Amino acid sequence: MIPLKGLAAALLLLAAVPPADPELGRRIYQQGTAGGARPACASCHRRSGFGTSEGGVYIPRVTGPVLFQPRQLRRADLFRNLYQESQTSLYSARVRDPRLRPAYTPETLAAAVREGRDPAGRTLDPLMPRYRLSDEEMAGLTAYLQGLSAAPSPGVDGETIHFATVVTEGVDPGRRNAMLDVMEAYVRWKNAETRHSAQRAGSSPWYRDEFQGSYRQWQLHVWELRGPAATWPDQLAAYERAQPVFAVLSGLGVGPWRPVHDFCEVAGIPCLFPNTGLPVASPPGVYALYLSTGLTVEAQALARYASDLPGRIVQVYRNAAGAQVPARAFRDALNATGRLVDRAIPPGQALTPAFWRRLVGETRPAVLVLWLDEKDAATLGAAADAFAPVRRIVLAGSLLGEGEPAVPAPLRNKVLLTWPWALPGHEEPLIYRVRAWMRARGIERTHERLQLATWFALAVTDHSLTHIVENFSRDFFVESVEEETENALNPGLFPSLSLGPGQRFASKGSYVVRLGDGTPGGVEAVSGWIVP
Amino acid sequence: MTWRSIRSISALALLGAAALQAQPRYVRSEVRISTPAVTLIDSRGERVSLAAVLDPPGPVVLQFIFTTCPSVCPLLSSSLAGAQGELGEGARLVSISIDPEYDTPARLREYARRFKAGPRWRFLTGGREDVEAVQKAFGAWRVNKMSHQPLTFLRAAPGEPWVRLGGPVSAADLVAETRRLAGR
Repeated sequence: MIPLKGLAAALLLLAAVPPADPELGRRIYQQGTAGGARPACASCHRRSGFGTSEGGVYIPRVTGPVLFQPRQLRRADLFRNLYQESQTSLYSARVRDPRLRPAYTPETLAAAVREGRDPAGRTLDPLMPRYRLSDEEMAGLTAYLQGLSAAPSPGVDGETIHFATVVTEGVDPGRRNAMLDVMEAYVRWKNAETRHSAQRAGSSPWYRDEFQGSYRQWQLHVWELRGPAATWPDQLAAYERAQPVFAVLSGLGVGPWRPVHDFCEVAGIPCLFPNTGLPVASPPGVYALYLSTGLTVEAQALARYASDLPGRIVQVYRNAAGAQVPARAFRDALNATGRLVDRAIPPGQALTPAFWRRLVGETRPAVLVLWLDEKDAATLGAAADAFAPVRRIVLAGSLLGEGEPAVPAPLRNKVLLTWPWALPGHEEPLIYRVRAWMRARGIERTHERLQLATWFALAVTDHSLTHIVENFSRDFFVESVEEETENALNPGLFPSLSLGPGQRFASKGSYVVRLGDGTPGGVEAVSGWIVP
Repeated sequence: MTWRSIRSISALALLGAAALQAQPRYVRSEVRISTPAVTLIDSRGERVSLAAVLDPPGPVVLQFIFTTCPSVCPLLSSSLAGAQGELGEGARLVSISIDPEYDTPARLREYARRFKAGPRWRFLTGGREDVEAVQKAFGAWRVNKMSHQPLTFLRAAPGEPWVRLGGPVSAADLVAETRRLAGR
C-alpha cells in the first residue's frame, strides 16, 4: 500500500509540475505569445539574447549564463555601450547603474516575466512588457533561456577563430587572386596587430588589456567548390565537418549563389557579403547577408527608369539559371508588360551579325535590354548597323567586368548601363586609406570594386567581433554586423551601406548611366539613385 | 580615465538615476524649426512636400521611426496609435522614416496596418538626403540609425514653436501634452 501511495503522490506531483518544453519556449522567445498581442522577447533582447541598445534604451542580456548567475560586472562587455555609441546621458546613467542581483531561479524568472520584479526586488523598466504566461509556457521559456547562447558557437577555440571563403569553379583566376590577396593580407595584418596587443598585456593603451580574453588568431580556409551546383551543399558540409568555421566571409562564384545560401541557413553559419550578382533576393535569410540584391535591383531600377521610355522593349538573355533572374525581375517590375518582348537565347548559340539583324528585324525594339556578359556584349560591334532603328541599348553594368565597357563607337551614344555602385567622383575619405593599405602590402589594384567589397567584408567582421568581445555567438555576431555595417566602414563602392534588424541587403538601389565623352570614370548618371 | 574616476562617475550616475526615477520619462522642451523645403514620398508612393503635410492649420504630432527598429519605434508608434482617437479634432499625425531606403511605401503601409493607423496618420519616406535634411532640421540626425533617440514633436499651429518630447512617451503622455498645447 505504502509504495503505491508514494507512487500516486509522485504522479500527482508530476502532474502539478508541467513538463518543460524548450521548443515551446523557443517559439515564445522568437515569435511571441499565441495572441501576438505582446512583442516577442527576441524583438528587443534579440535572437542571441545579448540584448541591444537602440533609441537610447539599454536592453539587457538574457542569455542562460547571464540570467542564471548573479549579475557580473564586466566592463569589457559594456565598453561599446559606454564609449563607442553616441547616446544620451540618461542612457549612460542606466548602463553605469550596476543593478546587482542574485542568480535567477525558475520562480524568480516567472516573477520577472509576469510581474516585472527582479530577484533583488527591483521593478523592471516599464518598457519590459508583463507577460501572462501559463505554467507550461513559463517552464518552456525557462528551459529555452537556460540554453540560450550558453556555449560558444563552433569555429572558435581558445587561440584561433576560423573563417572560410567560398570560390566556385569557373571563376576568372585574376578575380580569384584579387579577392584572396586582400583576404590573406587582412588576416596577416590582423594577426600581427593581435600578437602585438597580446604581448603588451597590462600596459596597453586604450584599455586593450580589458579585451585580452577576446584575442584570437584568425585563420582563413578557402573552400573550393567543383562540379554541378547541386553538389555544392554536400561539399560545403564536408568542409564544415573537417574544420568548423565561425563565419564564411566574402567569396566569389559563377552562377546563382543559392546553394551556398542554403548551406549557410541550414548550418546556421553567418555568410557575409559574397561577391555575387545572384544572391537569394527573397525571402531574406537569417545568416546570409549581402552587399546588394545584385542583378535583381539593377533590373528593378531599370524597370522604374524604362517605364518613362516610349516604344516597345525587347529583353534578351541566355536561357540559363543566372540570366533568367534579372529578366524575370525586369518583367515583374515593369509596369507595362504589354510592350515587353522576351527573347531567350540557348546557352551555346553564337551571336552573329545575322542573329542581331534578325532579332531587330523581327522584334522592332525601341529599347533593347541585354542581360548579357562582356563576351556576348562584344558581338554588338560587328552588327552595329543593325541597331540603327533601336533608340536605346541597355546593358547590365555588373555583367561587364571592371574595365571600360567595350562598346563600339557608333553605338556609344545609344548605350545605357545599370550601375548599382556609387558614381565616379563620389569618393569616401576611407577609400584613400584602403588604397594606401593595399599599396603598402603590395596588392595591385587590378579589380578595385571586387577588392573594396572584399576589404569591407573583412573590416565589418573585424569591428563586429570587437563589439561582441569574447561572447563568440554566431547570432550575436550577425546582430553586431547589422549595426556595424552603417558605421563609417563604407570605402565608397556604394553610395551608402546600412543594415538593421532583419535587413539582409546593405545597398538598396541602382543608377542608370550613359557612357560619357571623356568624363573621368567613363559614365554619367541619367537617373537619380533609384531604390525600387 | 582611472578606475577611481570611473567609480566616482558611476556613483554620480547612480544618484542621477535615482533622481530621475521620480521624474517623467521624457524631457520636454520647446524648439523653433522652419520646415525644410523637401519633397518626400508617402505610403501610397506619392510625392508630397513636407510643408504641405506639416504646415496646414491645426495641431501636428510628428515622430521619427524606422520599420525594422527593434524596440523604441514600436513603442512610440503604439503610443501614437493609442492616442490617435483622443488628440482632438483636426490633429494630424506624421511618422517619418529615418531608414528611407529600406522603408519603401509598401513597408510603411505594412507598418501602418500593424499600428491600425487611421486616415489622419501619414507615413513618409523619401530620398536619403531629403530625409537627412528633415532629421537635421529637427535635431534628430545620427550617423547610425540604431543610435537614434526616441523623439516626438508636437505643434499647436503653424508659426508656433514645436514642443519636443525626448524619451519614451505613453499614449496618456501624448494626450496630456496635446491638451496642454491646446490650452495655451
